[in-house]
Amino acid sequence: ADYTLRFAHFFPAVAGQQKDIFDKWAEAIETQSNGRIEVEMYPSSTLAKPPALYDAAKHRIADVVVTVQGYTANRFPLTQIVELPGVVQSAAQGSCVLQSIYDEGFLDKEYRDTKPLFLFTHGPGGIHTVDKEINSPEDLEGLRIRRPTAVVAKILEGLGAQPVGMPAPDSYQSAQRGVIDGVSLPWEGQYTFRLNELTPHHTEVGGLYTLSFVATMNKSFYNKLPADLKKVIDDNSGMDWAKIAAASFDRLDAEGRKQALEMGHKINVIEGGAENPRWKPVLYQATEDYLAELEKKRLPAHKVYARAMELSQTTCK
Amino acid sequence: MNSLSRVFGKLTLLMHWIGGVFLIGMMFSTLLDVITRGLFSLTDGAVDWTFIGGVELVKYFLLFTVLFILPHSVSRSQVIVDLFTDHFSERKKQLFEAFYMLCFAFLGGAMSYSFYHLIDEAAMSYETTQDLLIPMTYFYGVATFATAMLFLSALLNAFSLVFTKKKGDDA
Amino acid sequence: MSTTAIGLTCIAVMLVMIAFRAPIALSMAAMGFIGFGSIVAFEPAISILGSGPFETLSNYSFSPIPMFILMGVFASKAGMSQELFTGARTLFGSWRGGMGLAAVTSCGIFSAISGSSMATAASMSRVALPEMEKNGYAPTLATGTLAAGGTLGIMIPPSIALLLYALITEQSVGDMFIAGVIPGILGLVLYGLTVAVLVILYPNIAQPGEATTLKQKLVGLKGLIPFTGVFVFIIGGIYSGWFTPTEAAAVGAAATWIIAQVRGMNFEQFLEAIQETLVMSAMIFFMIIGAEIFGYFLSVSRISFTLVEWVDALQLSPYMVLFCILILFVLLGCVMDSIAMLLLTVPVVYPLVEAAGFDPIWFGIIAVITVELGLITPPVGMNVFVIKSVAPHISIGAMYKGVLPFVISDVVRLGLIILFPALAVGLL
Ligand code: NA
Ligand code: NA
Repeated sequence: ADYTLRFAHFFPAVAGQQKDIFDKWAEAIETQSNGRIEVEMYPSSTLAKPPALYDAAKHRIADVVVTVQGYTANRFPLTQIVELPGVVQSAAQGSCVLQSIYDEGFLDKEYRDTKPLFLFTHGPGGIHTVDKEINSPEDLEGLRIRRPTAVVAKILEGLGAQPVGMPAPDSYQSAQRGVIDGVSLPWEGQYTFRLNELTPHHTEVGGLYTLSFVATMNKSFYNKLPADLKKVIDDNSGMDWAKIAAASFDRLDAEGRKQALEMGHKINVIEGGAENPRWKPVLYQATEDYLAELEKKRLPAHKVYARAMELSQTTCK
Repeated sequence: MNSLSRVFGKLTLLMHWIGGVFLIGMMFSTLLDVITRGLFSLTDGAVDWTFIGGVELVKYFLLFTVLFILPHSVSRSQVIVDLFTDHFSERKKQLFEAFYMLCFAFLGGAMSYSFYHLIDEAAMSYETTQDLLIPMTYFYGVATFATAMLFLSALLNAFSLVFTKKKGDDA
Repeated sequence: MSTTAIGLTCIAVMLVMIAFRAPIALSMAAMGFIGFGSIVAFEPAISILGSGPFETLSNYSFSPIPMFILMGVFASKAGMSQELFTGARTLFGSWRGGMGLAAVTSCGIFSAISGSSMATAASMSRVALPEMEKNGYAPTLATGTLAAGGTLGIMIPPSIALLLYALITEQSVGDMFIAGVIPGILGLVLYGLTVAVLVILYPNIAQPGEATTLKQKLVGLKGLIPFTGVFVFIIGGIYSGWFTPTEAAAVGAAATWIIAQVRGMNFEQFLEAIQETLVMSAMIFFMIIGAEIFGYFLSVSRISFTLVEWVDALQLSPYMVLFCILILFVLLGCVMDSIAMLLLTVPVVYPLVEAAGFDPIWFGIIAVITVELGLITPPVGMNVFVIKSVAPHISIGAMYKGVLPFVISDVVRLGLIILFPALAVGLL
């Protein structure tokens, strides 16, 4: 091969995302470039730790990385608007919203260091607890819940829970020992991190939150490619791949949910989701606080939020 | 040269003890986290002194502890395999050590260079820590300083190993 | 030069550097940097010199290492370690291997709960090594028991290694932990037997204590109380959910600090304790940083992939495949850190194992035992290096010699689990 492309991410090598998204993308690149680009996979953070992944693409430690924007707090504030309550009901919808906002140029400033290929989100995050059944925000009072990012921490805090930051693989042991009372994860995460083994109570609040992801490329790697290979990369960027990624997450969500049901767990579905009158006020407040904070930094937060909601209710529905 | 490295030795020793303060800080922040959490659940939430960011405090205390002790320790706290070189003369061993100190100086310099660039990059991207929302640029600043001291310390050590016949005791 | 050739060259140069008195940490960091630079490019390699150490040092799961060292140092300042070993000596009376057995057992328990082999080796050797030497134990036996004992906790749950294996291969974590119980205990028993056999074969490596009466033994048990108390406090706290295994280190350090203060430790001794902790932490973290940088280089060298491809191309019978994989693990374990090795190799060998029709949980146990071996095998045996940092006066050669019987004991354990899979999967 003329070019070796190092592709790094933090998912385990056997994770569904590897087969459904990353392997497929690698295969597409290799065949469409007639083998002139060879893709080398680096799963399980073997090339960079999760918080360092984005910079790994920037500094060409890896040529392409897939990472969670929220792992580097405050670096992608406008992107993370997609994560706010009420925006996302499924990975397909969330990915469509995020990719569209990016395509419309709202997020250009946040990604000027690298060349984003496609952006996506996971499905709706839920609350999964060890002992206590969660029906309303009051039930969360004082519970220690593992959170993925600062934005989700704000939402949980708004609900009265105590967000606890810890690496995702640690949540299993912590839940087992009672250090945390539960986790906030989509079904796919429950499945990947084996947490269905420990948390028999599940609460689905439609549109509670989501997490945004980006697959992004080192700029100089892209710039050095000849025009025809650049085209191969361009052909494998954007909405099409956002949709492929989303389909994988939605499929894995279904699998994780099925697993819980097969284990005889109870799934508590909050009627109306984030719009439910008992949940809406606190979630609305968390959203407003987040947007206000961004506006204070002179970021067009309300504008992006309005567009995200519009997309979520129209084009991406 | 000798007085320079003596003054410098005092400076790295000071950093070493500051590292000790961070070490104790690490212990106390964990204890505080555990105790406030314990009180919270003992009193069913009546006494809520819990705080957010305990894990983060410990993480960055660890980072600072180690960064601050590196410059003083680079020539002292190393594990060396002495299996094959026992028959070397003291002078020869000293020269080898000097060469390795130069390598450490190079690595320390490269680290410092790398961190120095991250200061600006982090300032431009506004990245902060997850829980306490402290700008990352400060952490990179401290890391730049500590690794620059590592560079200087290793370099001075290499020189004193080459130019003094007997192994200098500059602790 | 091909990537594999660069990879092998850099490993070889690293070993030569180590042989020529280069600090271990430097050998790994320098060759990791040069190797990464040659395979990828030097600008990203310089970035790794920043981001690698930064991510490592701000890694929460490394925080127990200095805390457990601090705990070990306070314990010895408080006189608790002397008591512990005086107690053990009275208890075992004139039996030669008594203290060795006590050391292996306490290392096993300590590493089981702390979850960190290196933290165990660091703090237990600080506690036990001076006492064992004082009591006429040969340096080989003393360091061997301590280095090997610390590896036991990798298998005994809670275990990060088993958890990672389960996540990588999509097995149930609970099943994985249960499967680890008997192999973990078996390891402890075999290490105990190893000590017994050694003192029978080489009586002069351990001095017997004086014969003691039953009454003396019972009185002697008192000496075990303070240290065991801290142990029980830590274990109890972890299992009742008051604190995590990670937090237990700081809690244990604080508890022994209080005991040391109550027993009249003065400010000067306190500063000594801090100083000792800092010196050992510096040694260990220098090596951890070096291993991290070297690990990134090993990743991009694709050596583990290449080796697995070779094995796959040979088209062997299932048990030959298993044999080759284990040999591969042992070889990689010679130069690699255990967690990095699991992350790098398991995803690539797992398809071979599945194709050969082996039980994935059983294989996980075998893999973890083999990976565990890497911590004590020469030339790069992290546990041995950690003990070297406590006992600079004992040569590495003596330490590796002391570890050898325990390596054999682990190979026996591997054989038993391969012959009788029920040892691992019987409880499921
Ligand atoms: Na363990
Ligand atoms: Na080894």
